[in-house]
Amino acid sequence: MDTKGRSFVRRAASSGGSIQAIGARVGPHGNSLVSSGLLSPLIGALQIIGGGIPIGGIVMVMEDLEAPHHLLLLRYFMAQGLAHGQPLLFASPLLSPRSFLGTLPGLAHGDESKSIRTSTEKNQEGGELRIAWQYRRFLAEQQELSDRRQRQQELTQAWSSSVLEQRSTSNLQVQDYNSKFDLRRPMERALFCAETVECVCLQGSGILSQLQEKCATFCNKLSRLGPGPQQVGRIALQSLCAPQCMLSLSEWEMMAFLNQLKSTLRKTRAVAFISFPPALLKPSFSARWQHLADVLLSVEAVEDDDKTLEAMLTDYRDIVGFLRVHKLASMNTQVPSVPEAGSYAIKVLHKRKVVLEQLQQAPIDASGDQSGAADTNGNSVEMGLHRRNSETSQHQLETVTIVERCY
Amino acid sequence: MADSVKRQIRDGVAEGEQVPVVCLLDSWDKAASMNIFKHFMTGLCENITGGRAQAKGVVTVAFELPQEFFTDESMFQQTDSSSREWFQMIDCYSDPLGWEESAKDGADTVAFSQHPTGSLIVRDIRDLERLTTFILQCGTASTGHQTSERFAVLFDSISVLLRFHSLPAVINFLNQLRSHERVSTVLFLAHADLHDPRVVSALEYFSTTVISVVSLPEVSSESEDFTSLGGGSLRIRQKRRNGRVREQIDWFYLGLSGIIFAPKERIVQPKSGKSNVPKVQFNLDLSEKEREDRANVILPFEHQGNGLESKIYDGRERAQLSSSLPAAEKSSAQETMLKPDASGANTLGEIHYLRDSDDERPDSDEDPDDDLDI
Amino acid sequence: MVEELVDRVCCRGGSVLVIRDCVACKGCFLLQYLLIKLLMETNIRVVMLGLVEPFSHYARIARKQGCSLQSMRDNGRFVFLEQSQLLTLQGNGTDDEANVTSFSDNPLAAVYLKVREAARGNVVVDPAVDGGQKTCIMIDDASVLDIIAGGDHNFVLDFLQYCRALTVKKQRCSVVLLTHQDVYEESPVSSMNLALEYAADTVLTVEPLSTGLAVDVHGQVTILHRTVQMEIQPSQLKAVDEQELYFDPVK
Repeated sequence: MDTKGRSFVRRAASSGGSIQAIGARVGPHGNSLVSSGLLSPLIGALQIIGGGIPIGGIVMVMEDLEAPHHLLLLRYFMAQGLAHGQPLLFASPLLSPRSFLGTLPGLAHGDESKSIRTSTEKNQEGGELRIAWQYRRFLAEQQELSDRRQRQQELTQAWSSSVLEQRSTSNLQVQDYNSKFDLRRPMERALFCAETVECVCLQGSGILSQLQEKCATFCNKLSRLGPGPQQVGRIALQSLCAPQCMLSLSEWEMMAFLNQLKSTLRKTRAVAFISFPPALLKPSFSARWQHLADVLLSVEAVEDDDKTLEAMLTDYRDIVGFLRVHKLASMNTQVPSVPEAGSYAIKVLHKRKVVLEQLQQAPIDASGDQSGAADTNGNSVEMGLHRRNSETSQHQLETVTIVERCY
Repeated sequence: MADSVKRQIRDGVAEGEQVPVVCLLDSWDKAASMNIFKHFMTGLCENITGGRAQAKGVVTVAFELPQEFFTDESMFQQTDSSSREWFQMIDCYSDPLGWEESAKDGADTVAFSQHPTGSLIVRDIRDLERLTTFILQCGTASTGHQTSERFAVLFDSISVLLRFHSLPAVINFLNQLRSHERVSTVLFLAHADLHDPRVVSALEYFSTTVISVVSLPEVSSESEDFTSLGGGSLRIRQKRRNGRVREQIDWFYLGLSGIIFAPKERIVQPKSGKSNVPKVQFNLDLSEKEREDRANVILPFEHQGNGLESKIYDGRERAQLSSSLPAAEKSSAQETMLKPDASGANTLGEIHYLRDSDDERPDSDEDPDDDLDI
Repeated sequence: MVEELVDRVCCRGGSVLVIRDCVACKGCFLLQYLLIKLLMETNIRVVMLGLVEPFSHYARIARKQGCSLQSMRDNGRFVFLEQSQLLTLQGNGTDDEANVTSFSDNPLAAVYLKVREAARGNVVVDPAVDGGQKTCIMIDDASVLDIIAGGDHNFVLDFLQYCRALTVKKQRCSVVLLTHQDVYEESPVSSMNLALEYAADTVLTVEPLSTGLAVDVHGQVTILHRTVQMEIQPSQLKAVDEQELYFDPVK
């Protein structure tokens, strides 16, 4: 998200390479993004990890063996799609996948979202108070920076949309890009019973070919070249390599399916969200899956009554799990996008709303923790160490500078 | 150097003996072993043209390297180019599975075809019997169709064959060549680290001479003519007729023109003052010592008292705090305190603060803001 | 140095350059870098097997670097083969298909024929250059070949052997391929990493810094020359800009 990247966006937008569709917005490098539905409110106003999911991309979430947080992400992903009226294909090892759709969070009402907003602001204030005074200015700087980014982003969008003479719709998109959801409120039945929503149960024999067919027909309707209203489809595949749906499948068949899916997606207006338990795959296959992903995330459980963590994180009580960002999409560019934060805490606020809160990370992390992207069993103690690192980060930086001078 | 092996290849088979088989084993350092292979091959070629060798012709089977590697002009500069019949190439590199040929006419696979430059292209290396026949045919051609003369067979890498065939099949294939009356020597190369140790020992068992290439990652030398491109040692083990094994270690380095043998002292230099670590302007990795040093840096806000754990007074466990202070410090501390009294009757200057007990949660589980409706 | 690779490896017929990366640090920028260099600074034709990203991805990056892949494609300098193009043979029982299955059980044999067709088709013999035009085959990425081959690594090795042995107008092609290090780190397929190394003349390894991902230094590249001369050039730091790559040698 640097400013240099932005200057290319303009050209890309004017050349018409990106896709204008409901619920999508222009991203960097001529990609269009759709929302993953989840917000990270603390840094910047309201920001989604990586800005969103690029159309044609695959998001993979590595499941934790114990915690069902991937379902939380999945629900938000699907709910966001349904809120935008986008076609959805949902495959799950559950016997009745459609009943799972009934557990999706419903849209929050305007006034409630406002109240949430104010409460997050309050939360922010509390966050400042907790931080030692000498670090407060860094926080302020960061805040300023992200505010500036936000403004710039809005400016760019306004500019590109004016070129396309779609200012009004574009503005609407920006507003609507992220819906606000309420976990207590169920999704409206009409939304998930619509014709455009398809469900597949991942059980039984020959299911993969069936799924492949479904995906192919689903994608066919969403060809980038096709006329008609531009819509973005969402494919959600839950626990794809779970043992119960891998009865008669070899890993290579699964790989072939994923590979096929990826190359089809690149040509369509659709995104895929796949969750899989990497611990159940052989390491080399797990690596292959991860290479296939455009956006790679993993979720981790938080242990109950973990004293060290409790001491480390003041808001430990609210945190239900951790989300790690391993890879962000780099479509149409060769510059790897570096995530602003490696780890987020998944919090449920007021039993209503899921937010991702950035865990401050040390600028230089000598433990090499980030490099091990495949590292999924990083436990909560390690997470605690991260937090501690962040407090000492300034000093670490200095040490490094001295090292540089030595040479 | 490695003259004994050269001699062995030159002399070939003695009366009533088995055909010598030289096995060249490398691990990882492909460049060195290929050049050593070429070194032996050129040596043999020189001997053949000089009439000193038992073999009168050579058949080289190229699996891993294009034939250009073997037939470059430098090898034939001494001999006149017209009489190259004694040097035969079998090309298993260009089309080992017949994809090229059969796709062209769609008909049955042609077993082999003549390359424009005169070498034979094998179209199916999965057929070992046919390959044997080709080798023998080429051998006969290389000796000018004289039935009494022998020829040498060289394989640039047997590892490719081991991908397609089981070990017994490959050994059997080699053995057929070895027991043929027209063959004088067999030389083959294998990549030891690509195979099971079992396979490697089978190859060693089968051959009369085993040469293992051990490469050195760093080669240094003081002499100026020495343009080091790598080097290492050859461990040569020759099984002798009387049952003894002779082991010999030769050192070599790779020059621009190929392999050069040199005494060990010229290749392996004792580490001089200058290090081989590349000079860096800055370093993003930390050495072990730097890591340690960094870990030992006491950060300003950390407690700086002799590595003691910091104890912050919070109204409890007072006894523990004071007992943790060293005795001397304690006594001096007590002196400086305002009229310290062991009995605790005088509590002047003390602040009483009682923290909530530990078992009570600071707040209830409920969110205090929950009932607010803003 | 990375800059020399074009002359040293890509222009030499029959040579193979392997780029290995891992999940934490993608190596595709090197492929892109070599592609642009080859197209802009030499007269080598490039046949690219784009098994991962569509043409638009490469074209967009190239455009930022001042190279129009589309015009290169139009005049035959650059041939781009997408996965769907390469695999169309399978399943629709044409004559070609029948031939392919009759002579090989390797699904990559059909792919090879496509590549050969593309490599040999409309070769412009430039009289100014002796020996005609050379060809370089680029594969992004080779781990997809495993999937096409159904997991048989021998099939992939055969395919690579054919690619490097492929001759276009008596000039052997060079091969540049991208693959992942971590997908082979398991027995019994661990030999694949070694086998690839044996096949390669030069191996580039892309790793993240041990200190993690940073915004201006994205990782490090190690160059290992394996044939002709053994040479390890360690630790080059790279920083990627939108328009250019910066290689800072650690020397």
